[in-house]
Amino acid sequence: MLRRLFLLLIFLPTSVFSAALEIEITEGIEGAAPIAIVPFGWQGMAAEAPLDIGAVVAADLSRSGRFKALPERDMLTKPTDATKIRFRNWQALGQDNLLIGQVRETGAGRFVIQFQLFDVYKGEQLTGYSMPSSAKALRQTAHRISDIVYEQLTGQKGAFSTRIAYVTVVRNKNSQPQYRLQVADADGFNPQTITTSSEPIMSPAWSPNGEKIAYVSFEGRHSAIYVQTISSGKRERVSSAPGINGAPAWSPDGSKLSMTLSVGGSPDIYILDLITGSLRQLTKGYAIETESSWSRDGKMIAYTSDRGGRPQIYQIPVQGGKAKRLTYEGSYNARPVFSPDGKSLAMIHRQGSAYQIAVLELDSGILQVLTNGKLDESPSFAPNGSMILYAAKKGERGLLAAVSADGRVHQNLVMKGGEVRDPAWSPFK
Amino acid sequence: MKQLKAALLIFVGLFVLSGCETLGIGGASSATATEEGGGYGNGSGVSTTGIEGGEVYTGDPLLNPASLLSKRVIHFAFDSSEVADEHLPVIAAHAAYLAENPSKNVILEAYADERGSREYNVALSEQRGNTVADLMRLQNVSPSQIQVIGYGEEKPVSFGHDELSWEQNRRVEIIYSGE
Amino acid sequence: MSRRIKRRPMAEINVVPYIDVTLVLLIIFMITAPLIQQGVEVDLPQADAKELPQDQEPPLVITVDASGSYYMDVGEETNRPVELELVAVRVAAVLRHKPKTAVLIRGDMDVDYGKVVTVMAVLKSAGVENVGLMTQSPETVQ
Repeated sequence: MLRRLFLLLIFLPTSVFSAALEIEITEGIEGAAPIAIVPFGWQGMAAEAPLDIGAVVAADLSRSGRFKALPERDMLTKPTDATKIRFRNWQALGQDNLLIGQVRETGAGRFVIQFQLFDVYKGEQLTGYSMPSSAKALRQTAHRISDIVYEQLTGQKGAFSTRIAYVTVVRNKNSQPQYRLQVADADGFNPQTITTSSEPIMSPAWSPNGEKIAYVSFEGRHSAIYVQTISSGKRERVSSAPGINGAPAWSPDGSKLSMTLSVGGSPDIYILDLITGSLRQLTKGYAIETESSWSRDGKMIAYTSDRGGRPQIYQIPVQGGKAKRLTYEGSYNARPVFSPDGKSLAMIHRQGSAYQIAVLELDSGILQVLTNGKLDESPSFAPNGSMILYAAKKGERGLLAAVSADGRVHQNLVMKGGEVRDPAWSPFK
Repeated sequence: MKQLKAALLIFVGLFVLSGCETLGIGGASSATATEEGGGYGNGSGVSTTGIEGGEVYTGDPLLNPASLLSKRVIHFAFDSSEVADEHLPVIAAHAAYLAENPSKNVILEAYADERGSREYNVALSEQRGNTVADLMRLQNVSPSQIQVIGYGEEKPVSFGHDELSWEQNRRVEIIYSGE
Repeated sequence: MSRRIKRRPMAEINVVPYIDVTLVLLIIFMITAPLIQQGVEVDLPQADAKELPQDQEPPLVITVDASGSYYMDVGEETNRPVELELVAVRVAAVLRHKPKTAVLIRGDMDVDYGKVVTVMAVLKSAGVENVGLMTQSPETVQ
């Protein structure tokens, strides 16, 4: 019934489809802390640095909604060296913090990036590092600087050097639609296609170590769950039972995959042990039970069930036992996903005729609606819990959007010339 | 209004039959083209009058535009997998045909509208497909002749975000293998 | 933050003429050591005027020395003259981020009247609502 077979080598990452996601912050700049990020200095053979590191950091920090980067044109001076800083110039502009740095070419394609972060009012350095980087890794290095600055100033780990996976659909006239599973940097740059199909691809899920992605593919007109190693492109079909093979979710230790199978008659949650290959049925009954998510301690599974007539969120011990209903507000709650700290669940919640992303605080039972779209779906937490990435629809197109966990900051990630959906935010590296 | 809806159903059905997902795009076979004309000719009234006028249809009954077998799409209400009474004769006609022709197989491609979550919609659509399959089995169609696949909100036939589009997308398509 | 200094009755503002209806002039004198340490020396005109409150945000100071050159207390080197256009750009930038910043002109008493008026016009076009003129209290002058 369930076979582990076919080690298939499939489509290697191609750059044919390189349309990057563009990010626009739509709401919530107020209350953000002002920070000045001076364009980094450059010492090297070429006329200018291969990458504007300062601009990447500024975009990252702005995207978080916690910071507002000073536009370059408003800078009274642009020091790249700490001895040249006059804090008065930044105080006059009302900036709280100042980031300066330099990129030095130390050899062919080798660089050293040095940066310093200052408190403008105290006039003192908060942190500073010198980091070597290859030409290819410059963008990653910039995201690491963003992570360090973010953590220094907010006390929370930054998620700028993480990645996102999502599915794009390009519909051309006179030909079949193309479904692509893509992986990109968290800022939408550097998108790479890891799987292409003319049949739907759905529900990508990152393994806890960030090396693999489980997903559903309808290739050959039959759903199956695959686990693909991102770096090699090799994949394994882990489930192709008759009926539904859907909604894969990794256990926190990465050894198990929960999934939805309908081989027993109705859709139920099953747990596949990826090491032994054994399969265990967790939920039973005639209702639809799907969309499982593991709690952080790996002891509980939250899922969608319509056993009460309408889809609502339930929770069941992984070892089996009595299911407990978690949502009572509204007639439609589905697709739960645990926050990284395990204290809340994000889900799709219907309000009137609109389907929106809401967060349920597990201790208090308070449900807060975060988004204001009509057809929002597929919520996915950033690994630091600060943002929720989700799919939305605008006009004819599907796009990705993100909202801060407190609902204050909203942004859209727009892909030109196609539809994008089913986002999944990677774990920390 | 009801007649219009029936006409629309036939229209949609024909396109599904032609295996063409985007409306109004070339690539349909010539046989389909003829049917299209027939479908329009008979429009709302599903009478036995053939295109040629009065002659008895002698071809493959599956391709007879006047037959209930030409209807290949069953529609559903929101968040429901119950078949409305008006669709029962269509399912019965296909079941009778399949029972008479054990060598024929069908794939029931089941779909949901775009609202709500994708995986729940896959489950919901599969239930729709199973309901149709169960009705066929009750009429002596062998289980081996039927395969159900739930696509959820994938592959919509209408791309709008309104009730009219959603209504068209909540469907089970009856597809004979080899078509 | 409400640093709006009421204009004094006309009778007392006899040193500086009224330039524009929307350009409110504040006459400020310095009692103690100058707020601004910058290497440009100017002899300020003497006038009996209201004191600038000490507890507020530091104002932006534009100095006009006896030769008519402009200096600012922000930027890289404050003792180097700057072009008038740069003054406008910098003042506009500061006001975009801190709209309530006071802008003061520290003009030498021997400077051309026209030079000061030009700065005031530039500041107004940069969006400054209130321009202050720095003076020296007659008592502090020996």
